[in-house]
Amino acid sequence: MDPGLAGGLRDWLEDVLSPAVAGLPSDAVPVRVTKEAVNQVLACEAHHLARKSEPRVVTAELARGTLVDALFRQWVTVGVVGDPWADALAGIECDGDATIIDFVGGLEGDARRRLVEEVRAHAASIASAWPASNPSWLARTQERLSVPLAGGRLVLSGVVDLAFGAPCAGRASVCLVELKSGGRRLEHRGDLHFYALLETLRSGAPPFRIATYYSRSGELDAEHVGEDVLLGALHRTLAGAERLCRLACGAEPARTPNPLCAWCSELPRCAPGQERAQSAIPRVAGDPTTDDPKWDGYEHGEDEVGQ
Amino acid sequence: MKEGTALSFPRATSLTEAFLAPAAIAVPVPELHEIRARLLRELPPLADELPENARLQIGPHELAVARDHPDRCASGWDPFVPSPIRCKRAIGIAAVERCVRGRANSPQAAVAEVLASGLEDLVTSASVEGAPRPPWWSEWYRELAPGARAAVQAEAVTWATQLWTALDWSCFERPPVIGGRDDFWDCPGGRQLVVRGRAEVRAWAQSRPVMLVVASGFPGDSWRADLAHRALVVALARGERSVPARVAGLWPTSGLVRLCEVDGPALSEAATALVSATATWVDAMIGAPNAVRVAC
Repeated sequence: MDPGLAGGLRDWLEDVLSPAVAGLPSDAVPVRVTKEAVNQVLACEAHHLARKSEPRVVTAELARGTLVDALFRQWVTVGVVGDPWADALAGIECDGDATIIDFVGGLEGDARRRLVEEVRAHAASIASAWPASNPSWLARTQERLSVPLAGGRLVLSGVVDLAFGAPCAGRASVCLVELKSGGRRLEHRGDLHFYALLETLRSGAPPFRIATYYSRSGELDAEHVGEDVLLGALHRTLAGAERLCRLACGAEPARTPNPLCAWCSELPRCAPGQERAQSAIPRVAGDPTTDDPKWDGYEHGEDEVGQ
Repeated sequence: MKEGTALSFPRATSLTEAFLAPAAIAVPVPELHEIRARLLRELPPLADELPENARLQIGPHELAVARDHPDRCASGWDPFVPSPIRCKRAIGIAAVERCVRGRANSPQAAVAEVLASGLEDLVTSASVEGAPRPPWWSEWYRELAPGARAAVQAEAVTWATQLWTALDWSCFERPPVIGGRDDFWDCPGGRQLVVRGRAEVRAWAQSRPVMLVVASGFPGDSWRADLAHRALVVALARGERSVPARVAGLWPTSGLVRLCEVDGPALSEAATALVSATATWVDAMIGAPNAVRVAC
């Protein structure tokens, strides 16, 4: 690997973001750049602000994602899952995620049965696809990454579901895995590339492999991390971070019609969004009576797990 | 140290070499005397203002809260509730200790052994008089369902692995102390004010002690004072001969490392931060007369 790569990427980020950060109020809290924030703000700035201000919406997809994440973590760490439903709930409760527990506790009848069955199916898929973790792989689950820039006024951050291998500045030695319990989506690649960039900045070397594991289908979407991947992630992060800084300065958000307009809580106040959605009434995420059957919860669901 | 060596990474080697390098600065004895005199002059009057029967313990966490979120000092004391995140250090430290001593070949195996041993100690302590005290988390852990136990184990494995892979343990000539007892200094005058310091690794750089601290997030502007605080407490509690030559800070989340060479200015900076934090906490506790601020 190029020993100057990580330093070069960091310098690039610092240089380009410097004017945007300089415009932040001196007492502003650090701008946190996560994969969700980048996805949202690049889709529509007004949508990002709306999502930021509204309470967290728990949907069946989000609950499933959180439960399956807990099971994956258990499987990798312990190598045993007894009753998947009970184990996942206990793990989440212990972590103090009351919103998921409350949501699951409120489910009745078919909805609950469906979720229990789904979680069991995902657990079976994980157990059949993943071998018992070898201690020498040095597996870390839910590993937090945070890269401060501009003296900590802007922080790139994320939580990786699984990391293997010890960080090593002179050699690509780490593998990152993201777990997705929903369907395959194009955006997942961007998320993974963002994490590859963070790991490179943190450790001084890029991961040697990054992968998204789809626990529903058992597919593993793995890729090698070359400079093209890191540069793509860098440009996307820069674009998102600049917009986030601008919004943090109180700038008027740009409104960009996109497929998520129909679910945006800002829709009643957004003319371009209404034109796109053909309605002024937002759909309710996770509501089967108004939801798009093709929608798999990416925006309101598993994407937020672990953050 | 030759036993228990299993892994060595280039990144860990450079950090370990910097951590164990011979001290470049002698113990700043005159400055230490001055700092001690200053603290004995400034802290007791603050402690005297504490509500009757109140006890204030200032450790690294309290320093950070007073500096970054002073409003939270007034919001009262929350009872300590164990959780995977709150237990990860205690379990992780014991696991890394096992790895370093050659009793386990990986953090994953070591954490499992520490948890099992904690449960065994709990049983033994209940039935055998004079048996060692079980770890503080063991009773809580015993009551957890398998899924919750896995969450505790996973969090501790991640923490322990980060520390285990951060250093090249084969470079230590003398066995390091992993964790060890926290340092405490009782401020004279009523014993209402206690200053606490802690480190994850204590080792020797030739004849001088050195400390390594694992922190979360990334180093802020005050990293030097935060690290020097650990050395200051050692100096106050055990005297100048025990003052570490340096305190290394490791922030695994961000991959950042900071080395604080313990000199007069660093200790003075730590003393200033300590007085300031104490004043902030005392002010807050005066507003809440029943508060008893004691960290677990």
